[in-house]
Amino acid sequence: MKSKIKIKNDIVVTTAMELDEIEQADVLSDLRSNFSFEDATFSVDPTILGGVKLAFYDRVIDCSIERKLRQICSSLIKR
Amino acid sequence: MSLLNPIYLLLHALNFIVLALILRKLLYKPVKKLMKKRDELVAVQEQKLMQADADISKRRKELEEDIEKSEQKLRSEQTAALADISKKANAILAKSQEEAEQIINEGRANVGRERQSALMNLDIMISELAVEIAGKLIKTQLSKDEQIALVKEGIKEAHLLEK
Repeated sequence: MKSKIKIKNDIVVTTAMELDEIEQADVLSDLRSNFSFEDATFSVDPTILGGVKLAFYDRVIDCSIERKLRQICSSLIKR
Repeated sequence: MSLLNPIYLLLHALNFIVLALILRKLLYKPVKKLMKKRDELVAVQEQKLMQADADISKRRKELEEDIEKSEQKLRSEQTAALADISKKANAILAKSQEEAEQIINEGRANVGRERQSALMNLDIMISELAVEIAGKLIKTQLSKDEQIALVKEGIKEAHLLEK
């Protein structure tokens, strides 16, 4: 049994592509199995390329492809 | 015949003796005395000359010694001056060499830094370009299902990050 992470506020889910209602419900189901929150709002940002960005209260959890590419870029530069 | 008269002969002899005595008294003795005095004077003068000659020789020797000392001192000073100049020249040369080496090292370091900076810039450009290309490829080649799968993976990852 996975322990849920409690978030007191609403959550904003940012994806690279617009999701229809069914897709949103699917994603929301996944979200609810990992996080506990009141409500979720979906937004679209094509610059993140893929993955997801979760924003709540004063925090942003960036799990986007854009961030991963930036990390790869930074590690390449440091090397 | 009168000349051979013994009385005349005697008178002549007496006259000669008287004349000789007078001459001896009045001329020979003073002349001899004068000559003796002159000889003494000459001897004194010679003595003085010899003394003067000795003095001159002594003075000359002293002067030669002085000259020799002066020359020796001059040579010594010259040698010291040459050594000093040589030392200064060597110091200047060493300093110049050091400065030149420093300039060369700084130049090498600058070249190294420039090279490093250029390589770094190149790395950044290549990395950014690679990321940009990768981004474009991902954007164009990901299907909707793949995008949703990535979203789900992202949610799992976010959960792990927040744990």
